[in-house]
Amino acid sequence: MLLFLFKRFAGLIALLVVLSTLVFFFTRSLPGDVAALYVGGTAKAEEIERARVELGLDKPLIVQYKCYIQKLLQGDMGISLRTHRPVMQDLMEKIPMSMELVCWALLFAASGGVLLGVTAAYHQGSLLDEVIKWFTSAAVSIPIFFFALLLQLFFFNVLGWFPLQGRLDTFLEFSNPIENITGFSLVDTIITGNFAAFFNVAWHMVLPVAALTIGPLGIIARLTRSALLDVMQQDYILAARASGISEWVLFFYYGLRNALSPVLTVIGLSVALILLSTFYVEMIFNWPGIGYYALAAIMSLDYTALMGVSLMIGTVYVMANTLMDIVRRIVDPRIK
Amino acid sequence: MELQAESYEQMAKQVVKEHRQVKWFLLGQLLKRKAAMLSLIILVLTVTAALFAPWVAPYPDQGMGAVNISQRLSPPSNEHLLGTDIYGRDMLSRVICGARISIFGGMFIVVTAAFIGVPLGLWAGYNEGKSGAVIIKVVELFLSFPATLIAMAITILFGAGWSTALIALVIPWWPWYTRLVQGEVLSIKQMLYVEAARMLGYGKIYIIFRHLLPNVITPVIVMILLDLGPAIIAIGLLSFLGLGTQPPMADWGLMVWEGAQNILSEWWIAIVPGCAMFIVVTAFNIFGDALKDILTPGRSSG
Repeated sequence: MLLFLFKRFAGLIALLVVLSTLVFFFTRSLPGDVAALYVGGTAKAEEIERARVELGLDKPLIVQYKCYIQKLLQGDMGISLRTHRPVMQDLMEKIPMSMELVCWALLFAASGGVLLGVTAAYHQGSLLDEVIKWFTSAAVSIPIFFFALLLQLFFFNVLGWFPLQGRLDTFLEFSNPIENITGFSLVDTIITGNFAAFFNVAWHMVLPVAALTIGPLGIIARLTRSALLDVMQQDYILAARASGISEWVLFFYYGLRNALSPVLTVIGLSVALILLSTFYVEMIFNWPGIGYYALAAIMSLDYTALMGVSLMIGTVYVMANTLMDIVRRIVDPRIK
Repeated sequence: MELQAESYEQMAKQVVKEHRQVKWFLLGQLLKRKAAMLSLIILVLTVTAALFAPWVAPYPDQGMGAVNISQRLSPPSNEHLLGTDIYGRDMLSRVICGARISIFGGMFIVVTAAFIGVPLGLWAGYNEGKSGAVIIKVVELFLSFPATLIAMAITILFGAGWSTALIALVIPWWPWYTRLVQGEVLSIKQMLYVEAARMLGYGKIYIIFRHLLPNVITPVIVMILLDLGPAIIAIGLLSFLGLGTQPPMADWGLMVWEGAQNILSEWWIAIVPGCAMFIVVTAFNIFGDALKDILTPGRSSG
């Protein structure tokens, strides 16, 4: 186990090095003059030159690369060309906002998906199984941006149950502003006892979280069902059934435990799916998180911010997969 | 001797007969699945409509991007069955023309990815030497980063456009085929007939194409079918961000983006292409699932 952990950790470091190198050379080959982008449209030639020296762009590429890695190790990702603030600072401010959505979505997708999958497998061939099958087929087939728009149209425009977009109602921004302590608005409002804002934020979060949940929910449910059905055909289940263990225990305890390994892999992969979905969901619901930031960076070719965002998403993805590998090994001792 | 020859002939006939029966069996299985048949009908209709778009669409020039400003933002009516968009273009024509990029683009991505990925997978699975190891390392590298993010990065780098978007999606897509085929080959090559072929002195290339390829073709076909839906969504994801097809060309993802601007008043502009996408992707997924059940029974689906 220790050797395995060490190996995985070494692999993780290697991947991160590759990732940062790729991101560096990718952003350096982007179209457009970075220094000109930095000073803005109407700048004079000498101002652009000054910015070039300031950003270190006059040095050879390999020196720039060395400098970039050094700074990266110190947690410095450079200055955003768009907001003119350190990218790290921008990211630290935006990440908690998105993480609130992502964590809820992941939680609902994982628990709901496993539950739906087990229910479908338990009632295999029945009407309930059919219904779940149709639902999950639809869930994996609907494009995220279209689903988000449908939610807005139906729950805001037709029913009027939930707000259209944003994080907090405008009048509450003035009467009960959110104090920034952890960056997670739900936590912050609870700590400060700001319950009006708490419920308002929660109310604003329902639709974006639902939009983020649906795709991974379908994937996880389908996989859980098929993995579980595979396991339930094995001899040891037959033996257990013959010895009189109840069906319910069979499915949830003996079956699910052995079906869990592929399910955990997919849950790890859904982290990336949800993170990428935030690009769309945050744009549509005007949620000021990392997806919104990334999108603005794409639109304005803000290469330092793009570098930071892709590094961050890549890192989260790689780490989630590693983490899931470790958990799988703990859950399933057969994996070598 | 004669008797033996006759029995061989009979055996051969029996094999051919069984082979035919297998074909009928597949068709029968497919006919039994109503959802899959319905999906197939929908797919045949949409693909035909997309193929003959200039003749099927009521206003083909508007479908290609011609502006008709006097009719802008008109709701669904007899004249424009699905309404018109912000430039007055007929939505039905736009959706039919958009099907070309979405559906044929999706097919292009998946088939190209298979054409790149399958030979590499065969090679990597059969040769466990250096070249195979290098292929597997490259595949693992690609699979360790989210595919959509790679595609986005490539389109940003090389400039947005539908052709760039398609190529940008092929690049992170082929490794999945390599990994699938490599895994299959690792188990197939243990088989006695492969060993026998090797013993008889047949070359690598011959064994790969004669003995390995036919045995991996079924899972590859199933994967191609199951990937068509996700490929169509992936194209939509890029063009929704403005990284794929550029206006005034029609593309479902782009059309949803155009409609998202006035979703609350002129809802049909976003809903029509979105529904088209949803229906076609669902149909591909259900059909793919059914074929997977029939062609590779007893395999866990992912």
